[in-house]
Amino acid sequence: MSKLADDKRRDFEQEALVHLDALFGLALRLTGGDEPRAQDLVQDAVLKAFRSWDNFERGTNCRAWLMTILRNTFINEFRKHKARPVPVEYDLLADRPSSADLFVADPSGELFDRMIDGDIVRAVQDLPEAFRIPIILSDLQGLSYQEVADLMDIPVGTVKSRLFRARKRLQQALYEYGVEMGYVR
Amino acid sequence: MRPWPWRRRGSRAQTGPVPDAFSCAECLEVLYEFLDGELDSAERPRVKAHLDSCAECFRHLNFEQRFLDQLRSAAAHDDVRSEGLRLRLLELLEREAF
Repeated sequence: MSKLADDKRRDFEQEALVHLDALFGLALRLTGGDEPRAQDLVQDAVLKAFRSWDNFERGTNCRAWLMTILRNTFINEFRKHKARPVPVEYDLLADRPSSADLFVADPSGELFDRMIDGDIVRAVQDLPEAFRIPIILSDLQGLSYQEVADLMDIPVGTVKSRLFRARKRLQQALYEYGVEMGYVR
Repeated sequence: MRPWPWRRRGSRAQTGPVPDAFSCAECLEVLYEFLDGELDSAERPRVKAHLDSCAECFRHLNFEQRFLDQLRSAAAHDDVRSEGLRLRLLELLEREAF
């Protein structure tokens, strides 16, 4: 290995690989907890990042740069498979009950403060893909509706309605979990 | 994390006539867009005016804000360790660097 190539690898390991746990966390959420798929996703994204490491502007946010590469890698895969019928789409038609029960039982939303981060992240992970991706891109990654629409190649109106329903489903799931755990009656 | 639009300074800048009355149903329908900072400058003051005068919708706003705060905060601590993956990547990078 040339010294130049070795320096690049060392530099990349020091600057980029420190964000590996964050990348893996995001990959797990995006894939709905599918660990092998999440590992493949991180691997693809990290190799892409390494190949374009010379273009990365030092001093800018490396974690955000890596997250963007991982997100785009996932979305490209998602788009490739979008044309084929996905059973989860049918799930969109038969929505679960609203989270109105939670607002009635706990109007100030204290339940949310009692939940630990892991409960919430797991509940996101368990959402069907069509709901999970918008909520991850918008709420976990901070993208605008337009950015989510562009990435997922769906209209902004669809992003709004999916986000709305995803959040209500999430509240419903947290409510059910809260009842089970005795956080709410 | 996005700033909450209703907390922004100047968001109370409602100097002209009170905009068209907004129903609770309309308000709740766009509540997430309001909290996400996605409403345009024409619609935001109408929602804000309704929230200022409707205690029930304001309770919904607080509920949804608390939910989104927790969701976004949970995501900020979302790192997951994977030592096996780290070792696999180190090997791949070494091969790639040749």
